[in-house]
Amino acid sequence: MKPRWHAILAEFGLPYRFSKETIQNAEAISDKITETDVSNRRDFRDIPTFTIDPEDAKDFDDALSLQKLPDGNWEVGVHIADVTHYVKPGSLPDVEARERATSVYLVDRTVPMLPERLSNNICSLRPNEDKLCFSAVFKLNDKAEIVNEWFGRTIIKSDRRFSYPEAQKSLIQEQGI
Amino acid sequence: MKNELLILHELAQKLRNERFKRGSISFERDEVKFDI
Repeated sequence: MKPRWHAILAEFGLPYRFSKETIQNAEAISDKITETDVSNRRDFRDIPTFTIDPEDAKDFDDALSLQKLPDGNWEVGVHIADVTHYVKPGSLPDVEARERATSVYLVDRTVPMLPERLSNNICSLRPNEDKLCFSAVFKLNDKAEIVNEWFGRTIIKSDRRFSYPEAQKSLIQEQGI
Repeated sequence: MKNELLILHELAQKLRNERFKRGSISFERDEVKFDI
């Protein structure tokens, strides 16, 4: 680890590693999604879904979905990884996350709030993987007026990961600017 | 996925316009990042 990076962490009182026990605890969390998990959730896996994050991001923590409904309205889904499904109150990753409160994004490194197995794997909404989420789902008309809203647990599958430059490029191309 | 992106962008612009019309203040500033 670079000394300068260490100095920055020390200056701002940032943690630089998880305890062995916390990592072991996170490694032991199962990433298997059971029938019961699925049956208690609204299923968005067949609806077009993507993430947009910085080019160097490893944790894709939220996703957007869109579909046109038979009534002509748009259904917009905002999905965030359901960390509570995996991190139980009072567990070591939970206690440590309370202490850290947030992930810290430095220029070339991240100090994650949760061990990497959670932040970069299980709870990262990577493309073509079933992921448990908490979602806010809005029904909008063409004027973007909200007709209906729904909040709850879901299962999603991202179709694509965009970086910000990719998303911007796509918009410019599609708009023909 | 590009079509979805474009439609969401259009909806977002409409929502944002309405938000600022109602008095919302933007505290966001452009962030600069260099590839060295």
